[in-house]
Amino acid sequence: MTRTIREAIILGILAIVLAFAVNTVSPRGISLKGTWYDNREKQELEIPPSYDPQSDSLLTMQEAFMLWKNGSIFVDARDPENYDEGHIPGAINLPFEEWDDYWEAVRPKLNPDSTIVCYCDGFDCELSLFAARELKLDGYPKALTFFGGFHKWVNAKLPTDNNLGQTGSEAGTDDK
Amino acid sequence: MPKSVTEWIIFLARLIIGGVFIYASIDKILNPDQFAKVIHNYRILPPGYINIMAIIAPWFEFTAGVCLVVGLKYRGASLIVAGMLVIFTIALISAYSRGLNINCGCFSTSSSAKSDLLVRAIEDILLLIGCLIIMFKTSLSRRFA
Repeated sequence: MTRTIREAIILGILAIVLAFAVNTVSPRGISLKGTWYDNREKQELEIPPSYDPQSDSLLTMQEAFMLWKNGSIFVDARDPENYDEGHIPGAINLPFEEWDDYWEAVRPKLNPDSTIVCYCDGFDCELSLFAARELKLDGYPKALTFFGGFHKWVNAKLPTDNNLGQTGSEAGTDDK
Repeated sequence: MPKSVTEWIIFLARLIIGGVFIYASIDKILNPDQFAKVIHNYRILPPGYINIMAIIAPWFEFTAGVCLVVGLKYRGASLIVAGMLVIFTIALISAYSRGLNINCGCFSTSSSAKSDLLVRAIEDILLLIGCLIIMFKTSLSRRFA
């Protein structure tokens, strides 16, 4: 048995050396830390007050995070001041209350066949829900709502961007 | 070539388990970023350990798998595989008991492929029995040879 354990230790060291060596030289290598949030505690899905199960599609924190990782488009439905102070990296600002002013500029960035995640502040903010409904009416059937919103995103210590000339990132946005 | 029935059993067990582990490691080695997402989906590890696990675990599978197939340090390799199978089985049962609807990540890193976690856990236990046969039959036959 001693021999078996000794062999296993040698092989283990070999595997670790190979793993880090290949990860360093491979173009597909990943950073050692990465951008993740702590999902060990199960988080209940928050339901907006005017939620309609027939028409609204709600996303959990985990689902929204995975869509962001996979490069889905995020729409920030808050006003430009809030957006400039901090938003989910890559999100497009489409303030629900100034929809008509922004729509023509935003429309070319959206694809009717792609998933679009709408969010606002979380808490009681339902602009995300309203924006997703409006997008569905405009021919974007895969418009979804992340009702937990920016508040939950920041609480999960995930990276953020702002338009104040600096990144407010906590975890870095270099590798999603 | 194996001479006795016992040696044949060990030989076949090595080939099957080694082959399964090499096959299982390829997709993960090629797509560590996707495998990291699978690990995150299990909701077991703290954020800081997810990428490290995604980098290292497939190479443990690959190294141990190759050693089992070619017969080099295969007792140590079967101990590594047995240890991994115990961890995988615990993770699968834990995910199943928490009602997670996720991809096992056993052979594919695609997040759209949902798995029957209990079936995967049973497969792992069968492979684990194979590893124990390799480890203990070999040491017993050496002792009484």
